[in-house]
Amino acid sequence: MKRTKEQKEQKLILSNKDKPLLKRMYKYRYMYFMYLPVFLIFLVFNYIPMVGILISFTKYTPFTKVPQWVGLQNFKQLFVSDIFWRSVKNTLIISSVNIVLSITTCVGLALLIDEIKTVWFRKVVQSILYIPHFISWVVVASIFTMILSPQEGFINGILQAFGQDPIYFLADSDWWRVCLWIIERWKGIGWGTIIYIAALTAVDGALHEAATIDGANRVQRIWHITLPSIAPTILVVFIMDIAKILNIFEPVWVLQNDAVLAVSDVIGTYVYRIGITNAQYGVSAAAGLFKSVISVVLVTIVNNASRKIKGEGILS
Amino acid sequence: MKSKKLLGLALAASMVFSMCSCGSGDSAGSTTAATTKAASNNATTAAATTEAPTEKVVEKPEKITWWTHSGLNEEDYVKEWDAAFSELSGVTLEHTQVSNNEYYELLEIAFASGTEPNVFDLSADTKMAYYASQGGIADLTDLVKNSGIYDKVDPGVWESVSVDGRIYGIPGEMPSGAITYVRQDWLDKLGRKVPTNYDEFLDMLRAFKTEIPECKIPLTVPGLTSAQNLPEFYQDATPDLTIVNGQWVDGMAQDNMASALQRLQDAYKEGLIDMEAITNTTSACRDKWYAGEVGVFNYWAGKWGNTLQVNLQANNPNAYITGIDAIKETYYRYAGFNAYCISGRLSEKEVEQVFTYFLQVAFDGAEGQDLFYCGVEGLHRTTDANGNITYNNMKSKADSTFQSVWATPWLAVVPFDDPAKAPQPAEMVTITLDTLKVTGTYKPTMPVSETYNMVVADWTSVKQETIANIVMGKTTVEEGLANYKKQADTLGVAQILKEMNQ
Repeated sequence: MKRTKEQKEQKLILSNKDKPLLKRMYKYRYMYFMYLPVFLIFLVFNYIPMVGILISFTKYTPFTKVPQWVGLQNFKQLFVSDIFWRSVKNTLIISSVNIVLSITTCVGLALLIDEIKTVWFRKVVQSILYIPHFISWVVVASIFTMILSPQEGFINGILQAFGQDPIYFLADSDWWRVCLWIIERWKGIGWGTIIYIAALTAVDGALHEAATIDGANRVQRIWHITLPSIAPTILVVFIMDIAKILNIFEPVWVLQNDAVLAVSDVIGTYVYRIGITNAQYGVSAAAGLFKSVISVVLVTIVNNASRKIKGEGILS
Repeated sequence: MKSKKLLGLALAASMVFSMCSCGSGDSAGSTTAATTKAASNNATTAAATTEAPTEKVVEKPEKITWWTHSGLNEEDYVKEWDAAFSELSGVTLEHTQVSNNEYYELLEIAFASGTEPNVFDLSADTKMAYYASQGGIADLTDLVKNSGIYDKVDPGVWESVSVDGRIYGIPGEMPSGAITYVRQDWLDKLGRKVPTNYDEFLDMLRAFKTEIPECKIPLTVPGLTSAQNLPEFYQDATPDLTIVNGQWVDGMAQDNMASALQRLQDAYKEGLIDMEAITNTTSACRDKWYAGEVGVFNYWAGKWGNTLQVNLQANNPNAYITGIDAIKETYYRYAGFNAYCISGRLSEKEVEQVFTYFLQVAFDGAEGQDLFYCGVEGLHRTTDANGNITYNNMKSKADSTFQSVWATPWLAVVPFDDPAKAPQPAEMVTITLDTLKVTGTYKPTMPVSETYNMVVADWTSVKQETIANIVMGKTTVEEGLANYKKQADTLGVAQILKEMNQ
């Protein structure tokens, strides 16, 4: 009986798996050799520092020679703090909206850029859109503080020209998050399109041609062909964004001020204040560990949901 | 005579050999010997030893590490200064300049990672007690007293840098404080005199706002939580911990805070205080002042008084300013002392070495002090034939002269042997310092509280948020303070006060 191609491949995989690990490693030694630097980098910079998790169970200040084991004391201190829970709530609100805005605006812009057929113009547009990504957050904050200034800012100038009172956007609790989201999009939208533009180049042109012949208009083609084609990419980006949902720090830190702490204090700024400014490394590490655990849980939930709905996820 | 010289040489030689055989600590590889009186080059040391053989000999350390966060800009011959100090002390100086804004964060991270410098400066009123309680700084009491520095300095200064009666640092200069600067040319234009009470002060701000066309902001300020920067509004209140009837109390919970916040709220609503006070940085306020848009700005007395005048006049040649006396309802506040400390992680022997070859050189009243305060001859300063020192122009800003190196000579705590020969302040500097002196009040040194150390960041945030919300009119004074009290109770402020008052 003649074996099919699939059966042959299956046998090859099984036969490889049957071999002892050392033999397999020897066989693929060059592969392992190439992987070694990556492994070492991960080991040194990602895994060994994880020992620092233990700090969250100790009383640890800059002057501590031997950290004193305090069990869950730091977590207890954290969980009874209203300010900590406020920061958790703010983090979830700011980041969730940010993720939704990020995906919708980046996909939308990528679709628009994909429609540009003149190559040089497309490149110019892309280059201009990427520039804000390379500006540091400190500079971005300075620029927008000037633009949004209630005294001489451009936006308030327009409002006043229409007879409106100036708004102190960055010190107004109702406006601060909106400003942050807009500024985040201004800075990140161009860079965020890269991965989607790459995905769009892989969409089969024949599908579009066939749909056009069948009478589909541009919106219908985007809805029924383009978006489903790049859905796996959107899913990957979404899951990776979920993993980072609690990590927001820099934009908040540079735009935050006393008047808007109630709506702007996030876990990152809380940890910085407790850990770096206040030098309570134990409590700060506990907050960091809490953040990591929640991130892992969220990623697992989203990945499982994705597998149930779409039949695929990015984690095994 | 000859036998005396031989005896001296023999003594010096025996000391050198004995030091060499002693071994060394972490940073104290013994190379030669010196007396505690004059930590200079080997020849001087030998001579000094010859003349005073009974004085204690201290080994030279291999190097001394030192952190600064203010003073010279890197391009203003810092490397040359370090080399000059190394040459004078005979010890290699490893000097690191760190960001002023993040100084304490970086210092504490350095302690946590075991890379802290040998010498660094600390705020005596907010940090010293904590560092001392944690063993972060060395007790210098005996070294200071035996060095001769102690007797040259006002005893009140030593009290300000002491914890439980032990001295932990030497301040480089007397602290400065903030005074209120007013556009005198605007006052003249309006035919007004400088205000002497709160009502006159408010009237002046109103007049600036309505009658001076170029005045965009009557009064600017970076943030709203500093009583030092808003003395006319806070008056005798302060959001900080303060002493009342000999007891530490929470300034926010005192009766006078409600009226202070009401004054701030009213003035902010009337447009007399910079609308952007909350998001202002100090440099943003200075820029507004230099642009000639601001009528009143409370800022440091001394060197800054002169700078505020000069930079304002660069853009507005007819402008001139005055530092007003504190109005009758309030007083000006000095900042705390900043003192040079030695790491408490060094051994007793190493602390003595660092003290001898760094602090004692920097505060010797003579050559070392000239270098520390006035810089390197030919680069930072020029000395004339009579020995009078004047500052040179800066490299980083060619049209400005240096006004200090690591500390200001006319504010030196340890006096120069001949103060008249040290650089003299500009007239505006002297005037503003004198203005500050009239009502200036020193900050008390805060005692240690374990609970305070745990919650200070949260507590500060709560205060800042409360004040911002009240002043900007988002809540009433009563509601805001009631909400503050609830949060302060949750944070354990009562326990903090209990610990501080023990």
